Amino acid sequence: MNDLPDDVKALLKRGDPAHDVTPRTVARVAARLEDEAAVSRPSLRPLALGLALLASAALGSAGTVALSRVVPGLLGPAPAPLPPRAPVVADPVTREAALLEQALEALNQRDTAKALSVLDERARQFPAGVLESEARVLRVRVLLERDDPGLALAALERLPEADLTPALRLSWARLLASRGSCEQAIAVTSKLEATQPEVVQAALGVCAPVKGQTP
Amino acid sequence: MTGTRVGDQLESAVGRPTFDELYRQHALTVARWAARLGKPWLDPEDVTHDVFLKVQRSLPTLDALADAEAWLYAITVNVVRTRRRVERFRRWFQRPETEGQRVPATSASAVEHLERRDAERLVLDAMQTLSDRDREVLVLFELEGRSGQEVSRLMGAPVDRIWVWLFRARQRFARAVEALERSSP
Repeated sequence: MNDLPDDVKALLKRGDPAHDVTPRTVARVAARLEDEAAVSRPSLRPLALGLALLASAALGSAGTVALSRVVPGLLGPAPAPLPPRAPVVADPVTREAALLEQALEALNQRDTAKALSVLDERARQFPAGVLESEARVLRVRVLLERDDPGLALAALERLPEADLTPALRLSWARLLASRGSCEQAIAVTSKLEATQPEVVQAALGVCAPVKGQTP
Repeated sequence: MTGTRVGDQLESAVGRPTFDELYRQHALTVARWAARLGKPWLDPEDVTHDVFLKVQRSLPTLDALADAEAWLYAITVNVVRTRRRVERFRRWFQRPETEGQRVPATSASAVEHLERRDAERLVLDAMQTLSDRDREVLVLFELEGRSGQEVSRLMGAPVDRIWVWLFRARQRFARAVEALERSSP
């Protein structure tokens, strides 16, 4: 059995990622678990159950999952015990992430039809999944890659502000500018103008305001 | 900690450890696994919390628990993989939601602290080039000093296969460290 070279072994010990894990770490976790357990005491259970039902109705499974995290055992009997080496795919979040990975992989291979079909499948299986925001952004990227400006614009308009990365803003501005919607294109890139003026000018193309003129 | 006293006595009587016993005996080990398998993406405290939340829910449904450590290890690995996958997506979309790693409270001098942080960064960078399996086997052997039998029990694989994995993991890790050191200014 070949061993690690001494210097690498020493480095591994010196750079042990667990060097700052101490009994205080587990004491803090214990306090968090205690706090959360306190929420599920009998007097609070009817209120918590009402909240869970409301959240479930409003947010679907995401709300249910979020509340069941806070109130263990609230939403029915505990799940079956995890056997040793339980398959990773059994976890809903992992399955959702796996679908997004498939879609991303398809997009990287420029197979936009497959990417959209996988995204549709994710939306069907996880209508309120925890990766909803990532799925929305990925769908826009697929539509942009597909060169389908109508659908891409519609999807971009539906994106919440928080999901709009600079790259998406620039793509959006390019699309609007190519359709002659200069005012909207300029508005979309206004947040980037101060930090990336050249990139914004390039994205706006013919819509870019001439220096010294008010757009 | 969170179990009832009568319930705890009953659990002990049927050969199943209580939640408190599991926490006292294994929480620190779980937190170290969380740091070694989850950093730099994940906060060890969050992972440890999620692991014991699962334990809290699952423990009452178990008839007996033959190997508590292996059970906790399986849960930790699952939690780390799930959270890392989600985290990778979040970072890919450039919207990190987790705070950065906490600055560790330490009594070491500033220089020692910086040196250790640099070493940790290098170790983590090298570990990130490894597969999950390579990382696990390396952590259990090299950082925890466990025997082949113990690693085999925790990872649920025959011991001869563990030796092969270890051999490859060591090679890959050493190569990664060498490459990172060469490329650093």
